[in-house]
Amino acid sequence: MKQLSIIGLSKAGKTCYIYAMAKSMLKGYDGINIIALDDDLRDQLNDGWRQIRRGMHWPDGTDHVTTCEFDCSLNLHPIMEFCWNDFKGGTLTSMNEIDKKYKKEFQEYLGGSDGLLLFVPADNIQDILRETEDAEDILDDLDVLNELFMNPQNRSTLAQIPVTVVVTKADLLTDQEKPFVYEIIQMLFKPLFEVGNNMHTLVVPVSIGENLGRGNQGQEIQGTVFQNPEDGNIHIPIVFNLYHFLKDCIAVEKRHLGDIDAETQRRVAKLRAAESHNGIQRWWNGEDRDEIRREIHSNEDLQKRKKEEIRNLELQLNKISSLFTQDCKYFINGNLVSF
Amino acid sequence: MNILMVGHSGAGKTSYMAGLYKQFGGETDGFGLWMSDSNKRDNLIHLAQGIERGYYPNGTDIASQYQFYLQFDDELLIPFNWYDYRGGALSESSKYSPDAQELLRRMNSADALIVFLDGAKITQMTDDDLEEEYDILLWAIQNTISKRSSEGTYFPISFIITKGDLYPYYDVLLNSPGLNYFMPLIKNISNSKNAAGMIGVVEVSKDGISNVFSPLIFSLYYGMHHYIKARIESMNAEIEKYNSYDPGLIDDFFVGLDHLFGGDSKTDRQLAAESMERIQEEKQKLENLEALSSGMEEILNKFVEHNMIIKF
Repeated sequence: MKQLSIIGLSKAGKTCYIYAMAKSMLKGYDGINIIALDDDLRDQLNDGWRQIRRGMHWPDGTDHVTTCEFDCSLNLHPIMEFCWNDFKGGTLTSMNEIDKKYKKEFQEYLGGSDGLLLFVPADNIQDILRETEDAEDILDDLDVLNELFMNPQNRSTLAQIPVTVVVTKADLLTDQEKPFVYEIIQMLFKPLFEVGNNMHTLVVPVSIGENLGRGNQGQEIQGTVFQNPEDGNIHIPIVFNLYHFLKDCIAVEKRHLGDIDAETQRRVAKLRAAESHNGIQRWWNGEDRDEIRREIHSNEDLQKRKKEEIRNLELQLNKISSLFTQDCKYFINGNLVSF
Repeated sequence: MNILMVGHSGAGKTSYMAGLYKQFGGETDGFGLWMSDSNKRDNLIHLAQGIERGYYPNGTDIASQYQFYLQFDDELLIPFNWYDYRGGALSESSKYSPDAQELLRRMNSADALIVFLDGAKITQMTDDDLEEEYDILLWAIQNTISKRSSEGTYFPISFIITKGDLYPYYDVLLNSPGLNYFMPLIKNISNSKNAAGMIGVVEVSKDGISNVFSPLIFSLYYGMHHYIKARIESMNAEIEKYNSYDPGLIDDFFVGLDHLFGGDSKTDRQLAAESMERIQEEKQKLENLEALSSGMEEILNKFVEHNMIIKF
């Protein structure tokens, strides 16, 4: 089971995100579905979304959805199981808490990750752009997180896993502010965008509606919540991790194919050697040409199957690549790239 | 094999069963259904008679399991269990409800699913109604198929729209919000290598019974691979047994001695002969199943040709 590590302070929008994600990925996109592994979790997420969508009330901050297990499938064939694991259950009010109380735990937590989702609410971005009273505190707090990311062990971990910066409450941003989001994120989280860092980082703004405001826990929702959360890029963060998982699978299968090819070559060479020997030499060396030919055929069958598997994985990868929207900015090694 | 009906209370599962049994129960000419339990048989007949008079069954109060045989020209062919359950269980959490636990277990061990959509409701459902009614069903179906995907065979799912008699034309049902809600899943099934699907509209009313056979044949056609696998395993086990016997004069002698002292053991020769008989019986059953499978495929193709079902 893949471990998705979730970092974000209280009120960053993680709970609303997971309610919306569970709802939108139940019907899914283009054959990709995600369902809760457990029917109890299914009901909890369903109730949570219903409270937002129909009850028009923000979660009150006590319904921490900390650890959830999901199954992701393509055309009803399971391709990845993952666990959503929220660090400290969303009770963090400041990154300083991690630095002061949970440094070692954070390192271990990150070390066990297969993907990182970093939740940054758009109201923080707005405060920074508008240089409000809170801006300095936000910047100081995020500096603490950057320091943790710079730790050699954490840095090494982050270079091996996909990192998604999820800008929640994106509907808050005005048209003038939207273009600056990516620059602000790159500035706030420099280690994730440094050239030569070997990291794969995606920045994606997400939203569950329009004109929803900053959202106060337990309060009534103003504005419009999307009937279908797919309109707000909700699927992207998980799809990004799926994309990387498939890429890794393809790399592994190609390595296996390489091994099979090498083995086939070795056997072909052995057959040639056997054919150049006379009967006595073959008997002396224990060379059975028919046996070697059978081994070669068996390897060729294996090669065919492996190539077929790789082809299927590449088709799946292409399909997933088509799901990324224009709002997504993908950085590899600090350079902006396309999928 | 196990066929499971899923659908909310009042969707028409029990009426469908009654209609199916009325048309095919005890039928000795062509395909038919046979049930050994006389109480359940009488109950279904009673329900069917009620429907003929315009009285429909109440929502299923208790879970029921029916054990049927598909028969052809009075010959029993495939045994299967047909499971009906308390409609409300779908909405309950398995943590707190034994019925919900049992339903999930049944779904995970089913060889075929028949999903009942209430024809009286699906044309008028709002988005909120659809979420309320069908999100859990969507989850349950996907959960079931996902668990079966490693088997390498097609898992059959039939979407049956009931109460077709309420409409002069079926277009309004086939384009309804209710069926459209399942379109992403239907598309996935269509593109899937793990599942096969069909859509059909059925009528069970005092004015007649129509199209009730299609989901049964569809489910059996795709679901019977388990039954075939069991037959092959049985035959292989018998062949292994046959190969283990060592008929010979010495064995005959010792068994003869045993008989002399009142024993009743059999010689390897006799055991081998009995084993060979059983192998031939299994072989015959497999050949019958192959013929049956071809027959079912023909029937399904005819249903498609006559627009009685949509296969995907």
